[in-house]
Amino acid sequence: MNSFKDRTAIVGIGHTEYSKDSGRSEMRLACEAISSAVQDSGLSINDIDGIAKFSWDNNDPVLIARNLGIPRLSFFGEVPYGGGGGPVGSILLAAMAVATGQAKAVVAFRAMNERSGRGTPRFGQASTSRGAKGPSAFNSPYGLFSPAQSVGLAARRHMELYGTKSHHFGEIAVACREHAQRNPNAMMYGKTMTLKDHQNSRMISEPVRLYDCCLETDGAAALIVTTSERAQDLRQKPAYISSGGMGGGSWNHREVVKNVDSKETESTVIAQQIFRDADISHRDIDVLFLYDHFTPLVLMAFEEYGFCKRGEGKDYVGDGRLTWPNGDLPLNTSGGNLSEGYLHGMQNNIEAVRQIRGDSNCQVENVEHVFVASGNAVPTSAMILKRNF
Amino acid sequence: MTEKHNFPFPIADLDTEQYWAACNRDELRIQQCNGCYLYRFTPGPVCGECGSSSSKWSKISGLGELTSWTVVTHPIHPAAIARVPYIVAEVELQEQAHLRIITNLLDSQPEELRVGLPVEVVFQSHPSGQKIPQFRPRR
Repeated sequence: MNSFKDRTAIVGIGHTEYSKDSGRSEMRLACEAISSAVQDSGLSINDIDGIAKFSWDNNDPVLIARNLGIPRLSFFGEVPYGGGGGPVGSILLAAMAVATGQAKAVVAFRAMNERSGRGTPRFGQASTSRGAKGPSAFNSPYGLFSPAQSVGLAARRHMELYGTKSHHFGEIAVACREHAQRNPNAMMYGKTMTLKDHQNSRMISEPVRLYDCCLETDGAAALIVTTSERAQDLRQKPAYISSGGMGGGSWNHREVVKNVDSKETESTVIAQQIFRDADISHRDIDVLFLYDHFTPLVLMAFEEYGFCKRGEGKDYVGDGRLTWPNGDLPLNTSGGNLSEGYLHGMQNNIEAVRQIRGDSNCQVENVEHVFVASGNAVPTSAMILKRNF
Repeated sequence: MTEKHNFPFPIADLDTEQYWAACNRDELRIQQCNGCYLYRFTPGPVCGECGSSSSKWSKISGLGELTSWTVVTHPIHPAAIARVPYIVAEVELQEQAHLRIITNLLDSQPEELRVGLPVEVVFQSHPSGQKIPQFRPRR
C-alpha cells in the first residue's frame, strides 16, 4: 500500500520566455515564473507555504518568499543532483510535503541565466582553474571537462556494443525540433531540422554532434502542487501525481562515463517502483517526457525505463514513433531541452501538465497517463501523471 | 617546449595522495581492499563491497583494454585549442572487470581504435611537475 499514490496534484504552471540573455536577475526570473504559476492555479500568494528547489539553483527560498510576499513557509527542501536529476525530484519533494501535511501548497521551480552566464556559469565551458580537485582530478588533466564529452564516451560504448548509429540519435533530435515548430516560446521555433541536417551538424565530441546537444538557456519555470482534494476546487484541470520515485546506485559512482553494459541503472530502479505503484504498464503511457540533455542518453533512457530492452533503443526510436501527431508515443511535445529551452527539464514537466489538461500545441488525444523523467546518467527521478482518479 | 596553456594538474587530497605520489615514481598503484582484496578506483576511504576501511596501494601491471573513446573536436578550454582533435578514452585494467580509468590515447589514430584494443600505461610529466598516467596501444 502506497500512501503517496494519487494524493497530490499539479495545479499551476508558469514560465518566463526562454532566451540567450534574459537581461534580468535569476531572482527576478524565479519570481516571475512562480507568480505566473500561482495566478494560473487560482490560488493566492498567501496560500503558498512551501518551496522546493534544485540544489544548483542560486535563489534562496526565503528571499523568494520575501520578494513575493509569501507570509510564511512551513516547508523548504532541496533536491540534490539538480542539475538534471532535479526537475521531477523537486516536484516530488513538494508532493511529499503536501501528502504528509507539512505544507498545503508548495512551489517547485528552476531559474537560471545559464546561457548569458549572468549568475550561472555555462555548462558547456570548462573551468580555467589551474588545478583540478576531487573527482575531476582524474578527468580534467586529460581534457575531459564537459557533459558532452563524457556522453561521447558512453555513446561510443553503446554504439560498439549494440550497433547503434548516429542517425538513431538524430531521430530524437528531429522529433523534438518538429514539436518546437508549434511552440512560439521555443528557442528553435521557426528553425526546422531534418535528419540530414542532423547528420551534417559538426562534431563536438565524436560521436556527439552539435544537434545531439541540448540548448543553453536563460529563463525560469515553476509548478505548484497541492492535495488532490483541494485541486478539484481550483481553476485548472488537475494533473494527479499517480506515482513517483528517485533512484541512484553504485552505477553512478564513477560520475564520468555512464555504464551502458549493465542492465540495472538509476532509471531501472525508478521504473520498477513507479509502474508498480501506479499499477499500469508501459503500454498505458500516452505521452512521454524523457530528459533530453543529449540524444544518446535519451535513447538509453528508453531502454532503462523499460520501453524496450537494453540495446534495442536504436530500433525503438525510428519510424516516426516519437513525432506528433502520427507517432504512437510522442516525445517532449513542446520541443524539450533540445529545442524548446534548457531549464533543466522543468519545461518538460510543464508541458506534461498541459497534455493532461488538453492544452498542448501538440495535443495527444485522450491522454490518461503521462510519464516524465529527469536526467539519466546521474541519480535521478521520474513520475507518472494521470488525468482521472 | 612549454605551452602557455595546460590542462589542469590533479590536486591530491588525503584519499588520493598515495596514488599521485606513486605516479611520480612511474608506478601505477591502485587501492586494494585488505578485507576482500577488491581493487577500487577512483580512490575512497571505505570499500563499497565489504565495508572495510583498511586498504593497500598495490602496484599493478599497467596493462588493459580500450572500453570506449571520444574524439574531442570542439575546444572548450584554452589548452584544448591547440590540441583538438584529441582522444579521451576509457580503459579497463586487466586486474579486474569494470576497473576503469580515464586517459588520453598516445601514439594512436582514431581509425585504429576498437573496443578491446590492448593498451599499456606510460607516465607523462605535466608542466606542474606531477606525472600523469597515460595509455598507448601495445605494439
